[in-house]
Amino acid sequence: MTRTIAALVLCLMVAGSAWAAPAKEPRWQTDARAVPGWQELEWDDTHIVFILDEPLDVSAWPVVQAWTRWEFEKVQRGEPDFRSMLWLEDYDCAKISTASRAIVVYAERNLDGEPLTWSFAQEDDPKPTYPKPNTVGHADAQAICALAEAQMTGPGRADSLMDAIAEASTPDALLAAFKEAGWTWASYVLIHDLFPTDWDVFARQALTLRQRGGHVRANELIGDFLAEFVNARAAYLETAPIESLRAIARARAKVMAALKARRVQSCASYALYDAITLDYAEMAPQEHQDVAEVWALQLRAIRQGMDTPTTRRAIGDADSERFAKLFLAKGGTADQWAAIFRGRTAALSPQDQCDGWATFLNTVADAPEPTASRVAAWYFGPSENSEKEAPVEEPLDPTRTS
Amino acid sequence: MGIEHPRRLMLLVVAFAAGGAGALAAAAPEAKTVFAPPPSKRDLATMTAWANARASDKSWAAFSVSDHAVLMVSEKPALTAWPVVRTWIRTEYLDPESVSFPSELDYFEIDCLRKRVRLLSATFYRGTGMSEGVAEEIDTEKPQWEYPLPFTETRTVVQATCLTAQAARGQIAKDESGR
Repeated sequence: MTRTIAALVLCLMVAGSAWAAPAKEPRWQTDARAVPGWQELEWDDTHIVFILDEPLDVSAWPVVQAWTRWEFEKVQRGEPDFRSMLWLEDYDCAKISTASRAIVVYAERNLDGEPLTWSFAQEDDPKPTYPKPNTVGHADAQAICALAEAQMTGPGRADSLMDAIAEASTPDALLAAFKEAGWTWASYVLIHDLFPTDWDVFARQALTLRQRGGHVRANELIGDFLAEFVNARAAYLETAPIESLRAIARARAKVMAALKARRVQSCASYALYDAITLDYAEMAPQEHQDVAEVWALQLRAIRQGMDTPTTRRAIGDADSERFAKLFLAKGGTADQWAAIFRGRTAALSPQDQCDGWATFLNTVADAPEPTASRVAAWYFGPSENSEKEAPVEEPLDPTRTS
Repeated sequence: MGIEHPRRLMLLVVAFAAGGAGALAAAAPEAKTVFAPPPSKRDLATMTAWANARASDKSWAAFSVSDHAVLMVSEKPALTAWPVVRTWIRTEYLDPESVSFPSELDYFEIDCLRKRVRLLSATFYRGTGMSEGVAEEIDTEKPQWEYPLPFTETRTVVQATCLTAQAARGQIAKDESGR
């Protein structure tokens, strides 16, 4: 049974990958498309793949189980020969792997007649295969994962946004596209609401690029805009109210905890460089929402720092010492603290980077004033380097009692 | 569309497990008694009443009606080994001429995580409503997992059973947290 599935998988993986549309739709394609209950996933002139037209089961996300129906122009040679088939697979959208659970093949198209054979995997967890790039299997896995993701996130998926942007011709239309895209792109709408002049410059720049045919550059501009906007205004975070900074610290720590659960290296990259190194599909919708929340909190804090700046003294020895004790009390280690203090956390292991910065943020969230304010301003404020400069010459011994 | 009817698929599996296709062929000519034709109104309450009209056990309730069968349950699925649950499903065929026996009682094991099912036991009755005596009873020796095909009653059974089981689990958790 397993051999049958493997043979069919192999056969399908090497199936044609040409994507050119025929001049006129052949009759067999017209007939295949007329079968109710299926939506088209992809096709070329040799085959069409359909997916069951019902909500995908995403209860085990990132693994999605889905039936596909395959229709072939020519008889597929095998044991036995077949012209259409049903295929049930688990799609692991995090690993982009697939595992076959069932294959049922039919002599005729459109699943007509009795099945020639059916194979049901008996093991709990069938062996996964990794579809290679530019194969039908890879394209199908990506399409199914995109459908599942779209189902979970509603209308906020990136492709629909890019479609809408491509059609937008005015800043207002661009704004409408971002609004329509939902929470994934809510930070851009927030920039419009909080910083209308900056938004207008951005929107006109993006539209100009696109109108000149620079779609890639326009998309890059859009993709990079948020991070660059916040980084360029980090000085205003230094003057934002402490409660706003505490909220950012809590939100960042939450994202780090989620990233750590997936891959500790990703948590470390986020802590050090604000970089999410996981694939989009590797994160759950709630995690994307949590990342978006960090951006939104930063934007609001920047606005507050601009409008009603809080004046605070620079971090001093006493603040560092007090903060270090709180840091240790929350489970941080002396080594982590020393690395943070010296601006050398990049030398730590990913585990220590992740744990150290998460503890640091949680300490910021709970530390008493004015220590919290001064440390938070130091942390969130602008820096020339990717790591913060040490606020004083020598690290204090956090184990020392004052 | 030519998707294999799940019941026939099950029967084939059972027949081979019981000693080859001959087992099924031998059972087929048994006499069957058909009572009132199914009503034109096909809602669950009407179909429950119809299917239970001649049944001595009227605890069964319809949960799905297709063009050719009504599926019924009597009790909630057993949750002893989540995500695997067990449930009894009674099937009443609307066109008894198209099947060997008009009434059937199956005991399924369903894996709600992997959405698969295996038949543990099947009992076929000569008359609708599990009446007129048992024509054949088969306990599967080595039940095999199957993934029910789209648009089949077996898939409906899996989906409905797992939904019920999930709800029951949620209720249990709620009750326990409320203690």
